Amino acid sequence: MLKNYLLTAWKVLLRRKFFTFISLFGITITLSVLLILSTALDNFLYPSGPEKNNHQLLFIEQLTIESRDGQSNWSSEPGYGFLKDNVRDLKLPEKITFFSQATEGSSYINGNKIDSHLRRTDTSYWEILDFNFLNGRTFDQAEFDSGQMVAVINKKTQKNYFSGENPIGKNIIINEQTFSVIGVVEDVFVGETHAYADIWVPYTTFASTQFETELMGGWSALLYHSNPSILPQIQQEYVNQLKNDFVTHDPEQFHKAIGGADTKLERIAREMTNTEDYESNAASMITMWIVLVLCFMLLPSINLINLNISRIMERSSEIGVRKAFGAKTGQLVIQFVVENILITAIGGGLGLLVSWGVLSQIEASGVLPGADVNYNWRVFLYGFGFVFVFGLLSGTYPALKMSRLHPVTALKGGVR
Amino acid sequence: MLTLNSIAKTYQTDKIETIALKEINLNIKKGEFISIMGPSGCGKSTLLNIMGLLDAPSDGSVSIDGVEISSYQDKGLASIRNEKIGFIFQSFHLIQDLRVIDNVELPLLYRKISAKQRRHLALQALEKVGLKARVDHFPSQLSGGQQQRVAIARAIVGKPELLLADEPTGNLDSHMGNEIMQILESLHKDDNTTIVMVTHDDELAKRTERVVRVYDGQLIH
Ligand SMILES: Nc1ncnc2c1ncn2[C@@H]1O[C@H](COP(=O)(O)OP(=O)(O)O)[C@@H](O)[C@H]1O
Ligand SMILES: [Mg+2]
Repeated sequence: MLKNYLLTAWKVLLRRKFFTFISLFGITITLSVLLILSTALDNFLYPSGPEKNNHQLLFIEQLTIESRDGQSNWSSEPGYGFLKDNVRDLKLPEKITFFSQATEGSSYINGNKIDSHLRRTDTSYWEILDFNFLNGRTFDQAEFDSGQMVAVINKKTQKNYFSGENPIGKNIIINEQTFSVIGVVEDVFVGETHAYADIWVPYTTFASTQFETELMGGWSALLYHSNPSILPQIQQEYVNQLKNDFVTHDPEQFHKAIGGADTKLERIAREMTNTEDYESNAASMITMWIVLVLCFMLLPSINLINLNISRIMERSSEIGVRKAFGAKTGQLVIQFVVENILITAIGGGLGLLVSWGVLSQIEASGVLPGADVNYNWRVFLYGFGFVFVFGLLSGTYPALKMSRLHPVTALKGGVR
Repeated sequence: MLTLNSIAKTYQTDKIETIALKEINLNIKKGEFISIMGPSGCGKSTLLNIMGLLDAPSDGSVSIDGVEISSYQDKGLASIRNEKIGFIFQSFHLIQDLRVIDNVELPLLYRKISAKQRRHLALQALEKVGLKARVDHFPSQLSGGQQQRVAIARAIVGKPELLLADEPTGNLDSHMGNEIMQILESLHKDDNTTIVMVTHDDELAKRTERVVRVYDGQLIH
């Protein structure tokens, strides 16, 4: 009997090419988008590069400052001056690093302009983040303290500047500063926003010391603790610091600071929801995020349910005929559900293929430098299961509704 | 084989109550070919639907083969319809997505019959209506007369005792109508099938054994 249902379903799908196409399209797109997004999120939350230990990290990368009269406020990344006065002396973190954002810099080699991202860091940066060194080493504390002009470069830069030859000990000129290369690391995925760069140098190599007093702009900090369950306490310590002991050299202009040390998930949630509420916990933001995703999923879902309903409604005469010739209500429900399972399974399969294709394409195209997309089969499986269950539900409601139609009503064309 | 015992049917829609049938007593003997006539809206279709257990009467009882249908539960009725009754509709009601052969096999899907046997019986039924050459066509590729012949094949494929035809020639010209009538006549003569046919056509009604006239929901004699 099941074989029969499947066969009939297959015939109907082939016959109703337009509907089948629209349905498949809807399911495929929905699933692909879902899978690509969750794979991206998964890769983002659980990176495989230097930030892979991000469950032990808190990120300080956003700050809002209010003037005393409350008339003006600024939002941007913190400045080095702020971090030095308000973050460096936090007690709970085991390690703290300050580093500049990766800025574009250019250099000329044999008359060709090469653009690279330059980041200036301290030494704990290299202890907290787990870079994969292909050659050489990073700078030590002595080199850092004395402002040695040394640089760590990535593989891509080695290829561009030195045609792949061993660059250790050679010079590299960027933004008119000359550095001696001391190490080479594997390329970093641009999604690992704090690790990503092409060239890393000590921040003591800045040409001017003006940055040391700047409150706002251009810097980030990572707070590290080997035990992730301590992170909430560190967050609290930081929030308290800003609330009670905010250090500023210009209390008129910069009176009050609002900011937080976020976990990776909170960062993403904050970016999605654009909230500045640093005191509420991650849970509420994550809930919000889930609601957003659900809303996003709701649209195609409703669409598909609609499509399913109108498709089954159209077949009210068929339902009447089948009932007249002895079909029981349950058998009709099964028939429609099987049809639905078949089409969602096909759509689901296509969705898997499409998202796999898109993800490999993204990885191969180099749109995202250093991207190394991990196909997370768990995510794929969940996504498929989700679409499947949803397809089942969306098909079952109209199937139940229509199969219960009185045969005479159904023969007359159903309820319009 | 079929007895209607003081059948009444009223439709309740919003505040209006329509009396479609009242006090209908009718006995149909095995092998009879009956036509039902009457003006539009007098209750012929309602009557046929009650005979075919598609609709429940508001009052009175239906007996088939001496057994009174007392409980109108979906499952039981579906089995009786499947085994004993075949329907033919004015507008054919073929399933457009299915080929002729699959349309004809449809009633057998709800029986425990192998696919091979289904195919065999469906071909047999199609042969009876002269459409064996069209098994792989879709309904839309057939003329109205041919579609109605497919519908007849579907109605007889399960070898039901009772054929109920609601204006089977209503959508056809007189030539095709005549073809359909000839098929019904031969089913009656050769297979001793009991047939109840609603029609507006006096000529066709005359060719049946008994004419039952309905007026305003009641039988007139
Ligand atoms: N589902 C229904 N709801 C309300 N009234 C109905 C319904 N079906 C039929 N009727 C009414 O019952 C009467 C008989 O209808 P019907 O049996 O279809 O007549 P006929 O087939 O003789 O033309 C008509 O007045 C019709 O309007
Ligand atoms: Mg009628």
